[in-house]
Amino acid sequence: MLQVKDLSFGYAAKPLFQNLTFEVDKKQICHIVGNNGVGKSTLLALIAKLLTPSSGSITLDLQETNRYPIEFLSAEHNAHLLAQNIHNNLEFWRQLSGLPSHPELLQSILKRWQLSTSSLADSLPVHKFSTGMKRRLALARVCYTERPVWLLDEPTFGLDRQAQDCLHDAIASHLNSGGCVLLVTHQINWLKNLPLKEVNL
Amino acid sequence: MNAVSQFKTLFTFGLKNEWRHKERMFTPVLFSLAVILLFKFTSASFSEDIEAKIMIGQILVTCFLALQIILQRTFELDDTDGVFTLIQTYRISPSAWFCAKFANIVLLGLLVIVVLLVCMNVLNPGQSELIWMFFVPIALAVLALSPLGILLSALTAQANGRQILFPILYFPLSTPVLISSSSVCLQYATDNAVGSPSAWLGLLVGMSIIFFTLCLLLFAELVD
Repeated sequence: MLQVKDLSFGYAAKPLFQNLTFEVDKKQICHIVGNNGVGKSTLLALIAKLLTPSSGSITLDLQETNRYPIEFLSAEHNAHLLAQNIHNNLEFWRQLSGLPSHPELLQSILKRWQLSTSSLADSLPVHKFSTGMKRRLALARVCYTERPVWLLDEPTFGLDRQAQDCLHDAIASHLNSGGCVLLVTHQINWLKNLPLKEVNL
Repeated sequence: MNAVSQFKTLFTFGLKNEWRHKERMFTPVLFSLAVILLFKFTSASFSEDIEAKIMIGQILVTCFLALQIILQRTFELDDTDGVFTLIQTYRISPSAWFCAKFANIVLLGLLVIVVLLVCMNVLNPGQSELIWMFFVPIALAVLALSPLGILLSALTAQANGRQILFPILYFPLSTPVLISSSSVCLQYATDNAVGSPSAWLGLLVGMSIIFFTLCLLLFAELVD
């Protein structure tokens, strides 16, 4: 599904990785492993086309295009419209994905991520949320935009045990629907029973 | 998803976002009102001819600075929490993104102009007809300056010292627009100004089209 071939990248005089090659198939999770600073987040940014590699190619279903349907969750940011409520945030990204509003799906996702309280979803601006709630909303966005490739950088940051189980279930159902996930995380105990493929940097 | 749908989404949510940040929306309006009141209560009495010229200067300076406040903050909301970055990973047409920002800015700019002219009308009841004649040249100036401001705002959004960088780039490029706009207003207010209003208006329309087209093309390059 996603093919990374001979990828090289570095900042100034410091090369991060050279001639990196791997593939991620449908229904597979690619766990990118490495110490701090080796370029795990950079690799995700390259796949998201936020950075340009020194050499090599990244293709999705053998097509190399400027943009392909990926959903990117950064480690540092959740990409929320902070003054808006949950509903407006999720609809904004879904509409930008080119999909019409889907109230039933929205409700089920909000329920899964424990964000379905009506007062919470309709009135409270996101900037008033706790760190964990913001992260859950970001993961709800990842589910609601229905994109085939998920790039998740430290998705469990701020999540409690229950939310980690939700993430496990969300990833499992995404894989069942034919998607794939590229994952950067230092906590792996919540990934039990999922088809992992490791890429060491 | 076609560019028109993307434009609608970005425009609608842009307006919703501005409405949620009411202090952002009303700061330029309140700034304009404060400056105009300050001008009114600190200027001396002159002949009718000179007062008309001073009034043009007051309106244009106020509008120009209020517009600069709006433009400088164009991508401020997108830049928070990585929204700008995530939009870049979506297959968004840069033209749709640019046009949505343009429509948002023009709406806010027109709001400032209307409030400003109403205020001027109240403060100068004898000049009512003349004041409303200024609407077209000032609105055209907003149309011409908005694309420029959006481009420069995107260019300086993640730059160090953007508070200084933006005006340094913006002022020289906006000067021809301001000269044209003030010349049209001057022509309306007095009989002895240089050129005809239609020629200056034509220049303003021309600059609006040129700035819009160039900035649209450069914006696509910039966000890519």
